Amino acid sequence: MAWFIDRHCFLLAVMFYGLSTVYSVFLWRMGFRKDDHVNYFLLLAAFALHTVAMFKRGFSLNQCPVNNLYEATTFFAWAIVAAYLVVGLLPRLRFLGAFASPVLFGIGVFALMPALDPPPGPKPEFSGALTSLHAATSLLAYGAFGFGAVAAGMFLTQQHDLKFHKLRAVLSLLPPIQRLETIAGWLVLAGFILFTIGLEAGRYLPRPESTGYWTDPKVVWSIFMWLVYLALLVLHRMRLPSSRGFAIGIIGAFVFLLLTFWGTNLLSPLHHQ
Amino acid sequence: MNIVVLGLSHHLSPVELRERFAFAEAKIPDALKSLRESGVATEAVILSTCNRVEIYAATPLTPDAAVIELKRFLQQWGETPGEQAGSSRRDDRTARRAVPTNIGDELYSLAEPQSLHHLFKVACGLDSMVLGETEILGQLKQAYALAHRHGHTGARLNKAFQRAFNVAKHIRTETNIQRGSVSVASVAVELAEKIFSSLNGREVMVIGAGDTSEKTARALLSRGARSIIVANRSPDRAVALAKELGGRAVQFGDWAAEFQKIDIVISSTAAPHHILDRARLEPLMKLRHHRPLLLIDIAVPRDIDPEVNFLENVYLYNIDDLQAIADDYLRLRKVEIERCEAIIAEKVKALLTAKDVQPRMGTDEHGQKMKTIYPKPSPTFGKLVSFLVSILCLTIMSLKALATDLTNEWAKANWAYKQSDFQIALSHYNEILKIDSNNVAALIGKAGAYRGLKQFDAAENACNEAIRLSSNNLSLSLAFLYRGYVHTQTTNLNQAIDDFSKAIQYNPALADAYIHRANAFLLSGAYDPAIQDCNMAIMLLPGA
Repeated sequence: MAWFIDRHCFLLAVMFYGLSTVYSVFLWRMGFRKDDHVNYFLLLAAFALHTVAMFKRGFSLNQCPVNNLYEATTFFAWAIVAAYLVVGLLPRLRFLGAFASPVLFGIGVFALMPALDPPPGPKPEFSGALTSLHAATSLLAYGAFGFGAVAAGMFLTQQHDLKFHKLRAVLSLLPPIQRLETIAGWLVLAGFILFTIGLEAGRYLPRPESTGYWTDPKVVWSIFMWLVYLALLVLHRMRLPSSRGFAIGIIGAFVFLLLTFWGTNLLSPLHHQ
Repeated sequence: MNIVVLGLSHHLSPVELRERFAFAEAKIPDALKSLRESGVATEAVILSTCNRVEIYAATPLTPDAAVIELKRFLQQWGETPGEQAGSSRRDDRTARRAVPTNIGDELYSLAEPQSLHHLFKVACGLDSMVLGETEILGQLKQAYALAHRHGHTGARLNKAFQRAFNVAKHIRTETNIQRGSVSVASVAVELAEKIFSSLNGREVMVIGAGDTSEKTARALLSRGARSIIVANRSPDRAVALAKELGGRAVQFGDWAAEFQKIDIVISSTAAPHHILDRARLEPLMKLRHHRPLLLIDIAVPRDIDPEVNFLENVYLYNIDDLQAIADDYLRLRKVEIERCEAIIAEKVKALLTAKDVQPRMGTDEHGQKMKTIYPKPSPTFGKLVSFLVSILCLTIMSLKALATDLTNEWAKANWAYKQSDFQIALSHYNEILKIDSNNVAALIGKAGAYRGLKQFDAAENACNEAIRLSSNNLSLSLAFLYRGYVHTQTTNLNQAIDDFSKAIQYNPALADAYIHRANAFLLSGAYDPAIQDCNMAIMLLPGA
C-alpha cells in the first residue's frame, strides 16, 4: 500500500504542474509583462508533494528511489523543478517556470503510466550506495539538461521577439538574451559534469558476467549523449555555432534524450530488471 | 480651511509667459513668507518647473477671494526685477524692463476637491507634457521639502502632499502609466538592456552626428556603457562630439576597423546609400566571434541594409522601429489614464473623508477648471460687493500692466506679430537677441516673422540656429515644428515631414506637429499616414 499512497502524492503534484501549465499560457499571452509569484508558488506546492512522494517511496524501499522507470522519471522531473525553484528566486528568472511547467506536466503524465511502475521485486544483490550515486547523478544531470533546454527555449522566444516583434520584446519582463544564454550554458555544463560522474560510477557497478558493458544499449546511448553535450560545450566555447544554434542544439539534444531514454532503458539488460 | 491652487502650465501658457513667473529656488522661501504674511495663506507650497508654476495654499479666505489675492501676489512677484528664475542671466536694465504680460486665460485656479485632484494628477505625471513622466514627482517633493523646511506647511498641506506622494507610488506600481520610454534614446537603451546582461563596459560607436544619436549615446553612457567612438565625415565634429561624450574620434573611413570591440552602433549619417550591408557585416561578425551586436539606425535614408537583421546575433532597429515603440508606450500610458483617474478620485475621496472636510465649492466630480479672473457673481449682497470691487481692481491692474507692457520688447514683438506687422516684430526679436543671443524663443519668433515676410531661407536659418541652441525637448520640438512649416510653404514636403516627425519625437504630445504632418502627407498623396496623424491629433486635442 505504501507505494500506492506515494503515487497519489505524485498525482497531486502532477495536477499542480498542470495548473501551472495553464497559468503559464496566460502569462505567455500577456507577453510576460507582469512579474507574478503565482506560478512560482504553484510549482513550489507541486515540488512539496513531489518530494513527499519520493521520500515515501524511498523509505518504503529503504533505498534511493531510482529502481524502475517510474522512479527514474519522477526523480528526473524533481531535479528540474528543484533547479527552477532555486533559480526562480531571482525575479527576472522567475519566468523560467512558465517554460518549465509544460515539460514537467508532460513528464509527470508519462511517469504515471502503470506499466512504468511494476511492484518492487526482490532486492538485487548489487544495490547500494554506488548504484544510488550512479542513478541520482545521472538523473540530476538529465534534470539540468532539461532545465537548460527550458532556458534555451526562453532564449529563442525572446530573441525572435527582439528581431521581429519589437514592442513585445521591450514590454516583456524576460531577462536579457545574453543572460539566458549564459544560464543555459551553465546548466548544460553542470549537467555534463554530473553525467560524467554518473557514467563513471556506473562503470564500477557489479554486473552479471553474461552481460557486456560496452555493448549494452544504454551504455552506448549514454556515451553518445555524453559526446553530444561535450560537442555542444566545446563548440559554444569556440563560438562556432551562433547563440541561436547553441540554443537549438541544447533543445534538440534534450528532446532526443527524452524520446530515447525510456526505450534504451527497456532494451538494456543492465538496467531493465 | 480650503486648499486652493493657482498656476500656469504648458497646457495654456507659452514658455515666454511661464518664464516671467518662474520662481528661482533661492527666492521661494521669501516668497512663501511674504505670501503667508499677507494673510491669504496659512500654509503654502510653490512649485516652479520648466513646464509649470503653481502655488498651493491652505487659506482661511473663501476660495474666490483667495484666488484673487494669489493672482495679485503672482503678478506682483512677476513685476519685481530679479525675482524670476534665471533673471541673474539678464542685466539690471533688462530685469527692470522685464514686466509680465497680462495674464488672463493662461491662469487656472482650483479649490477643493479639484485642487487635491489636480495635486495628485501632477504628482502622478498625468498633467505633464510627457504623460507619466517621473521627474515631476521629484520636483514636487523638492518643492514640498523646501516649504516644509522653512516652516511654511502645516497639517493640511502636509497631509495632502504626503498623500499625493503615496498615490503616485501606488499608481506607479499598480498601473502602466509610467512604464516604458517615450523618447527614442530611452527606447534604444531599453532594447540594449534586453540584449546585453549589463551595459557596464559595453563599447559604443557613433557614426555620423545628430542630436538623437548624441542623446542615445549619452543615455547609454549613463547606464554604464564604457566608451564612445565617434566617426564623422567632419573630423572637427567627430572630435568635438567625442570630447563631449568622453570618448575618442576616428576617421570616417576607419570605422570598420574598430568593429571588433564594438557592442552597440548608433548610425546617423547623411549618406544617400547604405554604409553597412550584409556582405560587409558578415566577416566583421566573424572577427567579433559572433557576440551580440545592436545596430541603431537613426538616419533617413537608412544607413544600414535591413537584410543585416537576418544575421545571427545582429539586432537592427531603425528610427521607425524606435519611434513605433515609443508611440506604443505612449498609447499604453494613455490607456491607463482612465484607471489612474479612478484611483485618484478614490484617494481624494478618502482624504476628504478622513479629514471630515466637505469641499467648499461645488462637488463637481469632473473637476472643471474654473477661470477666476471674473469671479462668479453670487446672490448675497456681500459677495456682490466683493465681485464689483475685484472687477474694479482687475481693470486698474490690467490697464497698468498694459501700459507697462508696451515698454517691453517681448510684448511689442508678440503684439506686432499678432497684428501681422512682421517687419516690426522682427526688429523687436532682434532687440531681444542683442540682449540674449541664445534666446531660442526669440529665434523661433524670428523664424515665424520671416515666414510672414515670405523670406523662407532666412526663416529656415533662424530655425536651424534655434535647433542648434536648444537645450531641452520643448524648444527643440518647436524649432523643428517651425522649420517644418517653412518646408511646407516651400513645398519641400519630404523635409517637412521629417521635421514634423522630429518635433513629435521630442514632444509626442505636440498636436500641431501631427496636424501639419498630416497636411504634408495629404499633399504628397500619402492618405493613410495622414489619417493616422489626424487621429492622433484628435486624441491629443479632442477639439482639433
